[in-house]
Amino acid sequence: MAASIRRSRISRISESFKIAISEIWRQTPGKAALVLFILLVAMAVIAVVTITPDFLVKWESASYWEDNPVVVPPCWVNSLGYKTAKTAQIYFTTPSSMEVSESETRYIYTYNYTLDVNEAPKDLYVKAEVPLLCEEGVFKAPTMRVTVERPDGIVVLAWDMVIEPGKTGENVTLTCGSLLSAKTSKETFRLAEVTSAIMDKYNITVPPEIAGANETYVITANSIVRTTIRTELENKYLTILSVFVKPISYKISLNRNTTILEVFSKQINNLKTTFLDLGINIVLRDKIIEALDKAANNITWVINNINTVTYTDYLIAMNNAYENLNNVNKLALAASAPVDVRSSVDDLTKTLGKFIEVATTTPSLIQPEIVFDVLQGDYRVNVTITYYGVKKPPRALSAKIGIIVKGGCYGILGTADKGVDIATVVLYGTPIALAIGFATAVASVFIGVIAGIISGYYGGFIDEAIQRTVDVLGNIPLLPILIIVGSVAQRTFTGEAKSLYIILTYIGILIIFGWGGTAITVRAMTLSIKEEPYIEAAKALGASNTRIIFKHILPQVLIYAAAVLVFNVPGAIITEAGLSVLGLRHGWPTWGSVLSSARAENRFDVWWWILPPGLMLSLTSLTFVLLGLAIERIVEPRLRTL
Amino acid sequence: MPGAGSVILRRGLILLVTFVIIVIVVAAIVEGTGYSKDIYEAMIREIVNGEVMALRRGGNITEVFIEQYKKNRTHQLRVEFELIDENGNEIPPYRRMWSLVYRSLLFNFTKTDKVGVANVVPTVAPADVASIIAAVLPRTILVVTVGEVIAIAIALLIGPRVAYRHGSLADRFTVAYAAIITAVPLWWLAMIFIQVFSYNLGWFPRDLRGVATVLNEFWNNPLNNFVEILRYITMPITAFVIWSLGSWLYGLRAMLLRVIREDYVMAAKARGIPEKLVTRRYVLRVSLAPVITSVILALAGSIGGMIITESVFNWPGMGTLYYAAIQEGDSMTLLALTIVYVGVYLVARFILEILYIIIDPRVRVR
Repeated sequence: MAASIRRSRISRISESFKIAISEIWRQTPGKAALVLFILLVAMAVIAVVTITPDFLVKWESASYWEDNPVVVPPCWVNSLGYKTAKTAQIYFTTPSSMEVSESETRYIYTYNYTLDVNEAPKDLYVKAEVPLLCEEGVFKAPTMRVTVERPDGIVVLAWDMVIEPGKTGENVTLTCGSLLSAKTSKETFRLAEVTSAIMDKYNITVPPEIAGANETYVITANSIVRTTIRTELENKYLTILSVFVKPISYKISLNRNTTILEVFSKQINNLKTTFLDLGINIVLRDKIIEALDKAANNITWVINNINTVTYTDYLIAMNNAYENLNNVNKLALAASAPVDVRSSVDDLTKTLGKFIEVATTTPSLIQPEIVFDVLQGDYRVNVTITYYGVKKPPRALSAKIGIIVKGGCYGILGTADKGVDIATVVLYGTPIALAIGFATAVASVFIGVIAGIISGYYGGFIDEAIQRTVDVLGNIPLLPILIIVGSVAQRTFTGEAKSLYIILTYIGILIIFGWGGTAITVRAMTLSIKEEPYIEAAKALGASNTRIIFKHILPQVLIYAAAVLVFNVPGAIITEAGLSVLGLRHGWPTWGSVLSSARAENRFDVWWWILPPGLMLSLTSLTFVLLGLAIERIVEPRLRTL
Repeated sequence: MPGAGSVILRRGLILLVTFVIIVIVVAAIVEGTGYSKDIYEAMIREIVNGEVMALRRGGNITEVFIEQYKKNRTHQLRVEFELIDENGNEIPPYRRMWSLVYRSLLFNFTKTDKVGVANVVPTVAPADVASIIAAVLPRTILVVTVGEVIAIAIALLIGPRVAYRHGSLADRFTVAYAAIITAVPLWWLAMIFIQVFSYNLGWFPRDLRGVATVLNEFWNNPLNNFVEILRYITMPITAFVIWSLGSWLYGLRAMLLRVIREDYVMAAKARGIPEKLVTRRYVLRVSLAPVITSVILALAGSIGGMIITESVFNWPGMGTLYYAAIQEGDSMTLLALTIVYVGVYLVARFILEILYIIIDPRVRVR
């Protein structure tokens, strides 16, 4: 008997629920609200099912997102005319191929990357976790070589490193099969080899008409060019990105400015006058003058032939001038010339020596101008793990190799600072937002309904007390209270559950201040229902207060309460987000926290950072406003005409 | 009007009691959780360290003396800040909080040494918290009042037109606009504004902090500074107006629809009174009182929304001060802001209620 009554009650409730839904569905805003609501719930369910337990704790640490490019737009922007390199984060657990020979075993992991835009990726690195193999009790640590086959045919050996057991950490005892980890870096990148490969491939050499005939000087000139290219790649392409560039034009010229030569020649002539005026040994003086003349002639020769001179001839002449000046130095000493004269000869010699040194080590005389550009096309990254002297290599190596190319775009919503994937946070923010909204709304409406019914039904002292409390609460602005209590909570709570407690504190405050409005309306409704004749009839039949409240008053109030509840949901969500934006962060991945980090980094220029979380907030809010309006129209048929 | 006087007096009293209650509750919270104790301990450490540094610079002082001095001075200051009594016993929070309540009611706050907080004015740290708040408060009031007045003016202009054409395209558009814009957080709208108008179009400054200097030196060159202020204030006010207009239009429209159907409006129309006159005398005049009521009810929401929005714009008002205090962990400023905010809100509410009583004769009679 009791069971059948309960069943019929359940079926009645589900029946009226169905009617309510179809009523909502009949209205256009209601239809939109229901669709949006279902989408939100679907997102929340997906998030709850897929979330990993450590996400809530780790999502704000940069290491969690280390493979993501920082502040890049979503990848679909490429179809809007943006040009961004794609991001690849490939993790291998089985090698693409394997080569076994007498002495070594090679496991090769291959990844093909296509660069189809004129923008180099932001980073390239390889992460490896490889096992330490054993051969008759001897540990065999592998080496890792990373080569990149470029579209222009160059095969760049970017990294060649030994994966040392020591790098796993100090307190780790090694056993056979324990994993060693390694990550390639800028410091270990073989930039010299890449530079040489590029120079060879694109025939970047100093032309003979500039370099001249002397083999040593040709080598010197070319090494200056090499250093220049290297520096350029190091600074402009952050070393590693040199993998993705090619020279599109180059010009190597000789500095044909004669100003400094003229200064040299003038100073030599000055010395000559000085020596002519000196009263020193006449024989030595003549020799000195002769040597100075020779030096002056050497330099004048360069000045006269400046437009055709080669690097070799230039430097030979300068070297000769240097030798002659050195000679002058020695002769001046022998002739015991005055100290100041000798020191000026010495200074000039040193300056000339410096000039020659600079000319042979820096791009001061040889001036290369090389313009690089991104090399588009198909790249093949090969990671080779080689073990030496392992006789029985395992077929399936339990290694994990990650090849990461950080491009200029990421995922479906892009990334924020620290490489935070906005799509992930927006998805995982959904259930948190809904939970905050519903918890607050349900609790405050619950309290409001109870307080309102009690206040209206029993009246008297209780009524007065509740009404005055509502009055005082209604006079208090919510935000400053939330802020001060929030910052107290931030300082008071510690430990792992800190974030949860802070959010619960917000919810608590919102509930305390949120039930008043409902209580007032429910009280008014109760007062009018109380006067209805059927209540009097029920009382006359001996119905208890509880029965009247639950049987006659509550059902009528509940429909109204449902509308209020739905209206109240977005308030708490937006308040929580607002507090995050104001700097009161709790540490959970919410929509507000994404906007808060945009505020903290002052990056309101990044649309993909501020649009998605804000749109989610607005859409959620809109969903419940529309839903509330639809329910309200069912509850209050008079509103339909308004 | 004896009736009006007593009503005003009663409302004032209720609001005053509310203020005292809030101050007591806030004091209880900050004292009970040890939050304020942290503030005082930090201040005492700072004072003592400063004095010890000065002593050391004086030279010729033994470490033993310094240790002794530190100990004595810390004790002395703890007594001064009422953390402990004369005998060195800790004063329990439920007794300590009353001195905090007393000082808060007198708006007597200490100094802050946080540079970020002082920069909002801008002034040099350490600065008096009360004077910092006194400097930034008018800037918030300026934006909220001007924004609110513009929004009401536009709503009063558009509202009746829409209400008369009930069911028309303009009417439906208004309702849709209201539903959508109230769903959007004002401070997010502000972010979009900064992106579009400051970054993409370059019409306005990206950061409105600079308005502080212009406002502080306004009288040096009033005309020029007025134009400069417009450049800064346009974005926050426009955002505020666009946002608050939604609820204004919706509320006013509903109110007018109710009044328009009243018999006396029909009768006025039937008498051949021009529609404009009917609107002004018979409809708007009556709707005004409920409009004020909704201003009062929406006040907390609009000030609150503007506080967060200000911090987004970096408009150097209360919101930005809040942001700075939170970033710097400046508890004293946060506490002072709470008290002042509540106080200002209650005063604003009181003023509006007086206005309400003046406009609505029914209250006076009651």
